[in-house]
Amino acid sequence: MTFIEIKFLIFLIMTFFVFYICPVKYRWIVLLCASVVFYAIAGLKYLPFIFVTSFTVWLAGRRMGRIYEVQEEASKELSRKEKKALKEEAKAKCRGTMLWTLVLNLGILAACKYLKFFIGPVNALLGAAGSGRTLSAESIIVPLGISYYTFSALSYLLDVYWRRVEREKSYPRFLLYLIYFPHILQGPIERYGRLGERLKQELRFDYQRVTFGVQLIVWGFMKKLIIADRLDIFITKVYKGYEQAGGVLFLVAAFFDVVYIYADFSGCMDMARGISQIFGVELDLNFDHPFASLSIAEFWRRWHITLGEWFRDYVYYPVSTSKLVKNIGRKTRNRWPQRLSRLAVNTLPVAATWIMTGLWHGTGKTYLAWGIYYTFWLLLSTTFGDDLHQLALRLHFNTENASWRLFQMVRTTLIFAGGRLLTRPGSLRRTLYIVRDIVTNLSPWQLTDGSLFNFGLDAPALLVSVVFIALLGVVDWWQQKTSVRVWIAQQGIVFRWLVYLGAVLAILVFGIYGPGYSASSFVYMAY
Amino acid sequence: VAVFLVLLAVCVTCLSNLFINKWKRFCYESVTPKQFYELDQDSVEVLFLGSSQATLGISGMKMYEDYGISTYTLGSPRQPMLGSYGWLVESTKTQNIRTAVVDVAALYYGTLSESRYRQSLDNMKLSLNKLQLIYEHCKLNGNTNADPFFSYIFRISKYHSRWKELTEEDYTNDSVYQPVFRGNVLYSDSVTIDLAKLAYDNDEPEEGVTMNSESVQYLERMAQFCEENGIELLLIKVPRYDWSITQHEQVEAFAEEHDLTFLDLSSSDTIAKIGLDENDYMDKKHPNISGATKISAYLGAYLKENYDLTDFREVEGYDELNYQEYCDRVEDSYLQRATDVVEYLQYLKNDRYDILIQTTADITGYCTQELLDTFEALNLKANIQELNGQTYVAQVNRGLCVYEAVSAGRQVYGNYLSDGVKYTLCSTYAAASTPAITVDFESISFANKGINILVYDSDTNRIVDKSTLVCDETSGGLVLQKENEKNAM
Repeated sequence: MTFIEIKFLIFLIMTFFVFYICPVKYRWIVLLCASVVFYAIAGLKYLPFIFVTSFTVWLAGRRMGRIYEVQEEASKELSRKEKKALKEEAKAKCRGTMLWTLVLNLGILAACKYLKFFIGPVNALLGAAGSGRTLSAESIIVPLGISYYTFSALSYLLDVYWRRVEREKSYPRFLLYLIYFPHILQGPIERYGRLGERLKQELRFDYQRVTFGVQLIVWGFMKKLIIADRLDIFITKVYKGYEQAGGVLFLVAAFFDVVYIYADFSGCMDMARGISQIFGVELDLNFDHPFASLSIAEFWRRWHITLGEWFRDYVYYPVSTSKLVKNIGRKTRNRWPQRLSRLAVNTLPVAATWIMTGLWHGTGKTYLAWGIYYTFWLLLSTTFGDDLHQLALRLHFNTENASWRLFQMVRTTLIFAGGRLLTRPGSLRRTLYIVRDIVTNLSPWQLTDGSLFNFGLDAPALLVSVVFIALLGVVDWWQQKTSVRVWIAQQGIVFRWLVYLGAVLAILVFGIYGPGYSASSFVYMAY
Repeated sequence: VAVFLVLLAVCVTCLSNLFINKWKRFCYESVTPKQFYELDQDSVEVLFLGSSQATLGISGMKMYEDYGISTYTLGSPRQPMLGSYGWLVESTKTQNIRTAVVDVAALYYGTLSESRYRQSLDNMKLSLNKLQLIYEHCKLNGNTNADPFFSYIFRISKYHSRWKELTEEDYTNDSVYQPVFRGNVLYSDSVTIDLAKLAYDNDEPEEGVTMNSESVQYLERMAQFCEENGIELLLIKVPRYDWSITQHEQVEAFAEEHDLTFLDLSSSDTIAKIGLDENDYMDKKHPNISGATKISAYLGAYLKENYDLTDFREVEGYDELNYQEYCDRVEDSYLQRATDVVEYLQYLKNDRYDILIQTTADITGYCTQELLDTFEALNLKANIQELNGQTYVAQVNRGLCVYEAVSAGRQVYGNYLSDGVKYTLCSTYAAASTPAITVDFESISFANKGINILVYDSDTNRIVDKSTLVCDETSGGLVLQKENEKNAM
């Protein structure tokens, strides 16, 4: 069940009424029950996986929390040195629990997502062990949202281990944090310290918040159904029929693909946040105008923010503060030129972070290449960024004006589009073909000779796409300055209703949905 | 919030009606239910159900005209038996149906496309009956997902992608209007058919012919529903080429098993009794107006004889619906179907018509007395026997000559028809880039050979007939050449 199905709408309306009919103190239970039902509708077979992850992580957190509590109790009257020793001892006790739980849950995640690539060796092993059973790719269950809930659970585990958050004593409360239906399928990857606490607050009815939530849902639907799903038709056809398309069409497809992934994913996030808002729970912002970024590092601080923060906190920081990296820094600092030393120190944490991010997004060579691609750009940026800036100044470029910032934004977007070109066409071979064709066969008349309309979108459909892309751009630009929802709320009732009616009717008319059309699943659902 | 939701619902309903597929070729399925719902309570006693064969082949007006039987046909193209069952149930909500007559073609349908279900059910009012039918249809087709079910209720979800193909017709709803006479659509076109092939008893028995289980199931439910509601159920088969003796025998066995009457109109004897001739069909399956009239006359007599039905001609206040329009259309069909010049000229003398005449060849030597008489009857004064190479244009409005001109060269003339529609005439013997005749700014195609005659009905805003009287060098006279397209009347 996805957000764009009728049955989800019915489910949401029913949950809404039951939620607000119930007394405030029981409302979190309504959310928990609704979330379990939501997940069970997606597939009963998935439920054991999330129960295993939630229960093992909760148990581990409970044990570690108790150890820390005992240690704190015991260290009240001890000297500072003794306190430190006791603290180290407690942490050592917890380390085993943390590591076992971490390995178990990462193992489940890896088995579900990557075992299909090792079916051959696994079957050979089973054969060698005398087992008559064999494994098939179809038999491997990939629970919905496993990457999201596993990462959320592990963030809790590590935060408890590092004593950043208190343990959760109630398992149902912890389960709700993981399985909470607005974010279970596509994120955002919430930290327990934030979402867990918000879910414990009194969830009271607030008319304005509910209406704002509904508006956000409608806006998400517009992005997803009118822009993303329409562009998806064109992009898929161009990349699948790449031998019939030419250079300039690949450029159009690459541009559309950037808009597509943004409209699809951020639209989905808007829906998730809007749905959560109507229940009085704020979800973390996952997109913060990424195309206004001046560098690729900034871009990834604004795009899929919660995932970036997760990798930063649980991969990048631990690796960059590891003994190995510290040793590299110590050994190269005075012997190598400054830039090279910086490169040597940064390479391992950046590469580890981005290759893992790539593999989190998907499996296969394309995602590995994607990780290497971003490692390259980020290392280039951190190592030579200052030099490039100096060069621009020496060439008397004004780096403070709007056109320079625009150049930086376009450059960042082009790098992002390059990354999409590695994964979207489906194989590196196809990517190479497309890049070569863009360089050697850029025939602009394909834009005017009708070829443009041979890939699933005719002229009116393309016009609608362009109009709504422009609308998306205007609203995004506007949102940087003020809250559009607040601005609309301040207008007269006729204008407001016209806006709301226009938005809903635009979705109903121009959206890609309904029978006969297999609405593509949200891109991030399978991760 | 409530007011906003009501406003939203109104907008969505309006958009649904705008976007719903008008099924341009067979738009009667949207008109038929609409008119049915507008009927007076308990004003229909005989209900016909079935596919396009029932819709085109059964003339309720003819049965009313001859026997006073009040009928209505609820059919759609390849209407599934599920749809017929649904409409039977629906009809009993407002009508006191005494006899339900089902054309059994649907018993032999293969897997039907979704559009056939849509055409049958889309225009049924929302009710428990409709919800039940949609649910059963989705279940039968293995659609466990809720979205297809809701798409029948919120029709915009099915048809919204038509936004880029909307035309003026979708907004005005004018040109999609197709006259439906108690559920019957009249076609005047005809093809020459082989009556022997129309009859099933000339066929050899076939192997492997089976009834569609879904259709059987719904026909059985119809039988049960009729029994429970005191309705007589009659099975019929309107003759068609691919109806076989095996199918006839199977339906006969089914009828016997369920204690039903099966009246197969496709035997050689019955076809002879009906009086069908080789020009009575518009294709190999569908009777034209002539065929429908003959079949309905036969069927009306059968119904009158075997069922206790009211003679509504004697019922005061009974709504004849568009009976006069039906009579006009029958009259039009004579003009449209005429193949003989004399006969054609006779039917041309009708005060209902606006007539546009224009020459594209010198007809001086080919004029017949009938043509001259007709021109006189139409109050045309020019002596066309003495044109001698001159061009001629004329306009007759409802029997009165409005304009007439003879000229040595090319003539272009424009004016208005009785209903205010603009027309132009361009008369020349040389090939010209200007269209011979335009009506409402649309050019009308004609042969470039003789006298072009366009007949227009200003009451219903439509072109009734386009013919050319062509000079035939062999016979030395005029022959009739038709330019009509295959459209419903």
